[in-house]
Amino acid sequence: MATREAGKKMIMLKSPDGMEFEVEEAVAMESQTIRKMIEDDCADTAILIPNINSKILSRVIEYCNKHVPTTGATGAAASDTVAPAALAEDLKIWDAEFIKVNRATRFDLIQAASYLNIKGLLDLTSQTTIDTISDNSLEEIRSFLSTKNDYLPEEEQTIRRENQWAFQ
Amino acid sequence: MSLERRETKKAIMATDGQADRLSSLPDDLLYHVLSFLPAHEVVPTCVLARRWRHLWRFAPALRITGVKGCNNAEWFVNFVHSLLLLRDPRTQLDSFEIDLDDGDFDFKEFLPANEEHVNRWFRHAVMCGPRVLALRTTDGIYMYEDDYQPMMLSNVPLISQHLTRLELEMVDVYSSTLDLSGCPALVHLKIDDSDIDGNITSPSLQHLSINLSYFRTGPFRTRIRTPNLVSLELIDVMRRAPVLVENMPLLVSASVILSSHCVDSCSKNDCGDCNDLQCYGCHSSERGADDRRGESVLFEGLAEVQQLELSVDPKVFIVNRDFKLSPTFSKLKTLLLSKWCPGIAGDLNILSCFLKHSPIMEKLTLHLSEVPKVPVETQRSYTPPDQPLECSHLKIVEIRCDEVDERAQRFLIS
Repeated sequence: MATREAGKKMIMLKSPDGMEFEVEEAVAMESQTIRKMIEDDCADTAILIPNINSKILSRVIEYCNKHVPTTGATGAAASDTVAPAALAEDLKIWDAEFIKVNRATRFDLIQAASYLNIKGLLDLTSQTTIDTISDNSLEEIRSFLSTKNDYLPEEEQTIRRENQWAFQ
Repeated sequence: MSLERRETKKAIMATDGQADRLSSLPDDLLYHVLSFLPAHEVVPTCVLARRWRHLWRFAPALRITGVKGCNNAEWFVNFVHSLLLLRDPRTQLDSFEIDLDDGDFDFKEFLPANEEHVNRWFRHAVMCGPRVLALRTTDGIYMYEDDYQPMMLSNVPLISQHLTRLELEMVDVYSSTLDLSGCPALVHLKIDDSDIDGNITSPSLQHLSINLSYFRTGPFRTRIRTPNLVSLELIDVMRRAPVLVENMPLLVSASVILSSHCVDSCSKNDCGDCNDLQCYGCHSSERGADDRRGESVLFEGLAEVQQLELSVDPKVFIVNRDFKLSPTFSKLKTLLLSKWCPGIAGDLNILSCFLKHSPIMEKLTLHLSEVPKVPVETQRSYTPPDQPLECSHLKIVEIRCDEVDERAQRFLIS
């Protein structure tokens, strides 16, 4: 339900497991998907977010809350006393703490960020995932991704030869 | 990667629940995740499994970095050439980064020997039409670490309908490239640690950040023509301060830091007009000292800024010289004078000039310098006219210092 609280427009988000989250419109609009719904006037009643359970949705809202720009319509809010660089640094530290989650949660966050189209969160989750596989041998990556090698041995040899330039 | 980090990572991989479900992601999401891997780690994924055979060719982002463990420049150059030739040319690129950081290189002296190759990659990158384009080098990959010249970027115009963000670090960039009129969608430009040898022009640019960069040393200062700018950072200007040519009516915030690296400085005269003809700051006309004398350098372009942070070294005269032209900051609401010192004549002068020329200022912050500045015996050729202060809108004056020291107390009393 779109309501008003202390001059700020509120939006209700519903997860498929029945939980409801009331968030400021500006926070919800960090998601380009929700922004589009609001702009198209499809957000009068609560917005159902399919496929994202309440545990993940609450984490996503937590992220958006932190990342919503602090300067209000009046222009001069917190940002004039804190240098932009310091703000960015602060966000980076916060992000690093935020993403300390297990793999399953991180995977769910990637999918949620993709569905809700929140570029910052998608980049953060992707980067963190990549950090864990970067610098590993192909064998390690394969087991990490639990990908089964379905090449025939001679096929794999051909592909290696084809892309010889990429192997040292 | 250090052994320790590798061990930790292995431990995480072993204990962190079941294997990653990454492989179950749809292709486009997998591309996105993969785009964070450097190119030399993406391509070998072709041997993981059938599904992965061609994935690398369609990745929407390319990140070219040095290759740990590789000390063969020829191999590396050939790798990048092959990559650019064999990736799918129809895949629209979101970003293309060439990130030559010494942390990723196991051999030094990659530059300037391979400058021509890097230039070709960069020009190819522009033609791929990415939204984000970056070229970064670091001093550790240059042959002469102590006396290096950053690599010279080919002096050709960048033409791209897609480019929205351009980042350059440690390159020498010339006028044709700096005229960005051929990139009508460009919004962000970031230049760090570079040599800027020309005028910066972009009708569409909204955010400009230039850090620790050398502006050219010819008879003319660099002109910055960016009429639609919203934010500006000029941090630690080296050599001559650039000219902000146009009024920028949309400018919301600006940070300008003129440290002792700025050569618009003189220890004898506060307006760049001392009697010593040998003075580099005031009189070396072949090095830009006479360009814009009697005309505004910085403040004309900043006339409509709403939030301004300014820090000026006591010897730097260019700000004072601009004040002589009685600029008005008609929209300035918040002013932060950082590294400000109450005992320094120049700093007091800046403060009183802003108070007189900013009719709607609401908030003033004086961030006191941690290290007290050394006073200079400048000859006061300009004192602001003794007019009443115009700052009737001023609501908040904040004085910040890391420790309440005597200076602050004395200043408050006076």
